[in-house]
Amino acid sequence: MQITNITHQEEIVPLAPEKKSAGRVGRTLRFFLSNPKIAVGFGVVLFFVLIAIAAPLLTPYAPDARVVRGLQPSQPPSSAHFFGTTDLGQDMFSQVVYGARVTLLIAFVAAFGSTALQVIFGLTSAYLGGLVDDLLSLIINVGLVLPGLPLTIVLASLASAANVNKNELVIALVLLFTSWQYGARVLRAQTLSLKEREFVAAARAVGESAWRIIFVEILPNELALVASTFVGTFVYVMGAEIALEFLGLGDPSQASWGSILYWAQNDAALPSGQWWLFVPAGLCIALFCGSLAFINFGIDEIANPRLHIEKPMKKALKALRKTKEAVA
Amino acid sequence: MEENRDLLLDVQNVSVVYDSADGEVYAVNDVSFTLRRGEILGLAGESGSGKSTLAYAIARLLRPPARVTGGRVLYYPRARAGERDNGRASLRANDVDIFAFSKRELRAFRWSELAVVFQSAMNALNPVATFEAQMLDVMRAHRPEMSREQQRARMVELARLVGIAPERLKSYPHELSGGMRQRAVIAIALALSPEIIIMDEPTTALDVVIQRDILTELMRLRRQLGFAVIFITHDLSLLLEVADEIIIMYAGRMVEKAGRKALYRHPLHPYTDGLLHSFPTLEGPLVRMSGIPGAPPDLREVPPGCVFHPRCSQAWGRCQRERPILRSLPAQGGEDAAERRVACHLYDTDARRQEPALSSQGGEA
Amino acid sequence: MRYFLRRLGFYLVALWAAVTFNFIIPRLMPGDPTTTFLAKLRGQGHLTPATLAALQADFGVTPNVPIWQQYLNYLGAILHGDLGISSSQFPSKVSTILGESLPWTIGLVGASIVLSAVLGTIIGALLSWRRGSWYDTVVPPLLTFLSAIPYFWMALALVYIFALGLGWFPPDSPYDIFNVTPGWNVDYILSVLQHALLPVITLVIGSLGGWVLTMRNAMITTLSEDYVLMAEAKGLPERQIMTNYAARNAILPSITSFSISLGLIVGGALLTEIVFNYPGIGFALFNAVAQNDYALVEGCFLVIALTVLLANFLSELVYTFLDPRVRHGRG
Repeated sequence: MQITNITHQEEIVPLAPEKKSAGRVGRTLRFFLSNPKIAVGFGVVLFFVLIAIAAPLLTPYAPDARVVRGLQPSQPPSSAHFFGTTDLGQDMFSQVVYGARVTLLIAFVAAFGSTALQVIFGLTSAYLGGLVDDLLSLIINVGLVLPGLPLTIVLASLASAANVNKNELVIALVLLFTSWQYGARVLRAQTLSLKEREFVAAARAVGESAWRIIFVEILPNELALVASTFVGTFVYVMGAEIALEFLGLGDPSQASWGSILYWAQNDAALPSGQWWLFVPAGLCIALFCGSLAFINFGIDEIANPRLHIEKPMKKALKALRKTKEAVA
Repeated sequence: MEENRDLLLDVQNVSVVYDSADGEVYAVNDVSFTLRRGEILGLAGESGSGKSTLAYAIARLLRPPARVTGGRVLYYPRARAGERDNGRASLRANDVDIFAFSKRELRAFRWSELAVVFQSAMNALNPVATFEAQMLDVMRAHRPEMSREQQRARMVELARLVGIAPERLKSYPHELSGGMRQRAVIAIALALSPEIIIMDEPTTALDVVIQRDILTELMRLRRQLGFAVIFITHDLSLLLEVADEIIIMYAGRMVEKAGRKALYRHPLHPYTDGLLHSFPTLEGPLVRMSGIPGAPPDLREVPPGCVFHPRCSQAWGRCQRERPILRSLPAQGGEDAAERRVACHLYDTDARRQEPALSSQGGEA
Repeated sequence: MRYFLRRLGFYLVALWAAVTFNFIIPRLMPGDPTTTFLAKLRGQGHLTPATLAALQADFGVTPNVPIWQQYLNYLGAILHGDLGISSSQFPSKVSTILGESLPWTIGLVGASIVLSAVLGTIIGALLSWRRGSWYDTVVPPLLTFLSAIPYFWMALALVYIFALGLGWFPPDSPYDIFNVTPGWNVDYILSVLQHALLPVITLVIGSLGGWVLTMRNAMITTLSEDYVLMAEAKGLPERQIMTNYAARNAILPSITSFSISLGLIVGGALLTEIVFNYPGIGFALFNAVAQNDYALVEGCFLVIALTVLLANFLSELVYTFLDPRVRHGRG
């Protein structure tokens, strides 16, 4: 079950509701990074991004190049090939490192687009209310109730059957359009409560246009929530993308973490004990997704002050256990 | 029922501290007072004065990071006629220190001897349980000897007592109106006929008309049943109508204690004076209102000497250096026989003889 | 009552959307869903025009009928339970195939949901009691991490370690197909349970984190509410406070988030079936996709959608039952 750290019923304490400026962005970033969970998660994420970017520098082999020929192309890890080689004799390390690019890029595009949709639909629907809200809410709720992965599978399979080129883009788009509903609903709930605040009434009284109110006044107050849903969307989209590729609905000829697993499954890696065919990619996926989840955990701690334990409280707890004047 | 003027509660030098990132913050600092049976004691003060913290400390309902760091609260229970001891820990006939209660003693003490009426009835009631369930559970927990019929009968009696129709017993909190919810909470508080009821701003969340209703109800019930009340509020005018004795708190300290008439006619502490003159009267000439300039201090950085001195129009040199002690003053004569206590250098006759520059302030002999 | 009817109406709309989606999408794609199959058939011998026409009708291909008529026919067919003929398992009817697969999926998903929910809620409540302890510091992040791992990779890893490596569990198939015959006999049932263990464990590990965290966070929030303080003031036994006052309120967000994440649970189950060769709906869908069996694909999707909608509806009912505020028309 996807972790819903932030239930849409809770009120999130908004970060300082001021206009954006370069200094504020920097300070907000530093504020987020001061939480250890966020810092660790972010560090790992950054690490993978850098690896993906620096791929050509890290390995001499191209991911598709068959470097090992002969009867047993699939080799366990060695000093020449850190992660071993695939059944086609390709260097696994290269595959993982170059594959990171594809995987992360698709996931990022999908998550970014999805978040954009979430923000636009969620905020607009809540702010405008009335018929617009009813209609958009209906679309959102129907989208939520229809099961995501089967939907995605069907769409992707139909797309691949129609031999649409550029499968990555198709996957990204499919994921984009099937993942925005949840975040939109969460943002809508938060906007509904923010809408009643005085600063919105003040802005309206001054005559600000609805567009401005939504994106310049309300949105900055929901940054923690938007960040959290972006991260959540990223995790979901990445998982779904890898699942699709694993099922062969992506482009199996291009190295990505999901396609690595596809070939591993196809080559019966498990029963034959060729663990290096799926462990490296899998571990990367686990680490990356795990760090994203960590980041979300940290954001949740910041946003909901009741969840955050302060050190002095631990001291007080210990003192309480000792003194007789304890709470009952 | 005639009010029994026995001693009920003797609060001695209670201090409560909050553990914060900046260290220990004193929310309640060395407070002592007594409560007599059937008496209504008002605790008045601004937000942050420590009045709620003090009351919750007495009830042992404080939660981390708050903790009691000193003092004791002696309780003098009345031996109850006809109440069998079921083998659970029963309270001894002489005084007991509430702070020293064991878990069992505390459980027996809770609600049977001391009940609490919370500020917001909507928040104080369990939203997924009916009104009657929330009355029954306390009866089942403390009076297991009562049969089902007896418990139900008592419940209906309590509902009638506060003016709620018995049909509403099965309602959920969100189905009751604001006034009814508050009555419901009062009914639950009365369930075990406690000796003391702590009321934390019981009417603040209600509109004025209902406020009046609830207060009248409370006073009637108190006359009828004889429980003592610790009434916490920031609204001094309310206390002037209902309380027997009033304690004024500021920044965690007690600054004045007096009977209500005496307090109204001759407020001694400048803070009390300021509070009294913050309410406009309904009738009479238009008067320029003077509030109390400034704001209550940050409890992490309390001013030296008298805590109130930065806002006091009567302050002088000594006030900035030395903290005034709460002293008892002889009764004013005439109003009531209750003692008066005030923590202010103005009433320290020795000090006044020493310091020359003084503004005129009516006082006492 | 009005609330109930409104929700029912909503679910009907959603169902209609699913059905319509099923109808529209394949027809947007170029080509005829059945051409490949028919081409294969033609290669095997004659096909009289009559047979061809009959086959086409079986597959729902009616090129001379206007699209809206096709739509209505389609709706009618579905209402009669006629989901067409599978091309990959010709001549089995889609509904038959689905009928055989569905119980496996329901068993798997049902068992894991129940286990996850019960375990997760209890652990979450326990964790909230022990705030600041080392369990509370370690367990939530650990579970978060586990939940973020894609289900199927976890399934693969578990199969590798426990089934192939240690040999504790069987790695695939729903029961021991070599030695046991299906039927209501003890051997069969035991075998089914044994083979279901690993898939269920996979699903539970993946979804446990969500339940634990939602419950824990909700409990922490609830425990700081005034009504819990009042319950303490009343001198009620601690266990009663924890269950009747705290947990009873804290569980509500869990139910809400469960409804929302149903789609994901189904997705995870799907992948788990594929890894374990478990003959449920997900497995059927996967194979259908691989073999371009559109009728079966559509059928699977429809059944999945229907099940999810039903589960959603049921959990909404449960929520209404638990939260009196919703019952009285505040929905």
